[in-house]
Amino acid sequence: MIISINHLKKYYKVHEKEPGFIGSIRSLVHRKYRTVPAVDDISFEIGEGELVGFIGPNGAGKTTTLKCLSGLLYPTGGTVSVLGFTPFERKNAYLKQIALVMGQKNQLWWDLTAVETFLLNKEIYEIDDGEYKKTLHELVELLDVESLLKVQVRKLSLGERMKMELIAALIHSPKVLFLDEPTIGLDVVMQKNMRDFIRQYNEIKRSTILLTSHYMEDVRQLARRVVIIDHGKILYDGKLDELIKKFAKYKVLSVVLDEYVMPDKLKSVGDLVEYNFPRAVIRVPRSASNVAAAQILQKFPVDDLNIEEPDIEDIIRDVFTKKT
Amino acid sequence: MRYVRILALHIQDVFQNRGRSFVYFLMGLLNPILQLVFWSGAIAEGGGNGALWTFREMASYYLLVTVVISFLVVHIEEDVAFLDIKEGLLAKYLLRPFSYFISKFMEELPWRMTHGFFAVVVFVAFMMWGRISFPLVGEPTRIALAVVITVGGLFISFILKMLFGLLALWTTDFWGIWGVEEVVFWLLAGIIMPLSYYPSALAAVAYALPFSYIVYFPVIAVQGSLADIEMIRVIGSQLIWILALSMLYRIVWKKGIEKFTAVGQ
Repeated sequence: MIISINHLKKYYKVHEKEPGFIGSIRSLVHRKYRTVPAVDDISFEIGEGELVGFIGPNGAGKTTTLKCLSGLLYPTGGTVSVLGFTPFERKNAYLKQIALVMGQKNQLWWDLTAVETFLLNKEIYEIDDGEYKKTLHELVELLDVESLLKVQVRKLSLGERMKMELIAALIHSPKVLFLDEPTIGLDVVMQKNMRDFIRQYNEIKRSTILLTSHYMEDVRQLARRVVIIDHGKILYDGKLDELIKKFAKYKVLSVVLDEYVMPDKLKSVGDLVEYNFPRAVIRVPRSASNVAAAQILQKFPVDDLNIEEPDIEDIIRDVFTKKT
Repeated sequence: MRYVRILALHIQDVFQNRGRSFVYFLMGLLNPILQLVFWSGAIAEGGGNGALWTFREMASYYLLVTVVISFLVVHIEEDVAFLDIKEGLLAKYLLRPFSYFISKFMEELPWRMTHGFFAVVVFVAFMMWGRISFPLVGEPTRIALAVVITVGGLFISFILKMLFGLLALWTTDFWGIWGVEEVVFWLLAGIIMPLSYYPSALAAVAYALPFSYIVYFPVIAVQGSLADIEMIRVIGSQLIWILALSMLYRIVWKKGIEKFTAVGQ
């Protein structure tokens, strides 16, 4: 296994202050602290070349886990092993094999061209000239940024800068890549470009990638396996399609009608989620979806009918709220 | 060569910020000029009587203070505390297979070089404009010793300021520590006036602390006011401070980094 986490815990001590002036005075004399479990006893493993989606709402513990894995944070308890190293020891041999990319966080020199930062990383990671040129050429081709190499970083758009950030993070060809919200703030076109790049990079380099994202499209398009975390605990770890089977206890029938049908009649088949003639969306129990579809075709004038899986975002929301 | 190439890249960055660098330098110039104006008035008022130093020596002292501050007084604690620790930029450095300490030194050195260059230009211009020849250390051996003291001052300044910056790992609000440090530094480094003018007890405290080895001793060494044996004694004291502060830095770094939460990153 490339990444192995066993009973990882990371607790923060948070200062609590009562509101108001009196609270401020009290806080001067006696400070109250509360322990917040950011990551609470989680375990999972990731094999070589896997691309895993690590998802959860804000404050779930995703970024804290990535920080523990990359060696930025000392865990409160448990063990973490990446490539056989203990990350928080931050040995140079370890740091040379990983990269952590955080969306909208900058390691580029603002007033110089991005190439200067690449050259700095070349020296820091002790990459020889030939390897540097080869990797840079590959990344520049993949991201299509040849024309931007001589442009001052401050003059680049957010999307262009993100591409340059990726090159800076990948110039040493890391074996393990931690991507924290790599598409945040990007427009839809740039998000797609970024996803295409991550997929190609994973295929070409066989790098192990752990990806967090708020955009379910990122996860759907890139990760076959997902780990869902909330309140510091893992709620699900497995294949994305199995998540759908396990948690989506219903299917969605998307119907286009030829003639108007009273909503009450449609409700007799299942939950009418949406009805905007001619289109109707009906939610039915997963096991009864075929029977319900047959009923619709028999009873109503149907132009088109599709049986669909529910939206992945809805399923994950259900997992978080434990509705399923 | 690797370090030289990294330094060269950092120099490029500072060159891009030459305007800001010059403004920072001008801000540092303000105090010595005010002091010089004050002392020229005070010495003239007293008719030169009772003053330990002449105006020429005093002018030389404050101009050299400007040069020495520009070359040696590091401001890295602000970056370390406010940017790296409070805003979480330290994460960027921790992920690199390269020492944070050396990274920061490489970032700071070009700023010291550019500020020092500006200060030397001002110093030379003042001498030429005022047609004043200032007392400066002359013989090659004594010049070499003065250079060693100057370099020692830079190292003490850098390690000390890095240490101050790391205190932000334990404090919610670093402004208080930073304010106290600035006041103590200005008072005990010999920036306000030569330490030989201080009451003997305060002077003894100043000589015993590292601040005087960053400004006061380098200035009077370059001025040529230190005897050979005193220069060697200063170098010895600087070495002890460098060793002690380096050891303290290692302990503080090791303990402090466990508290780093990479907030905002």
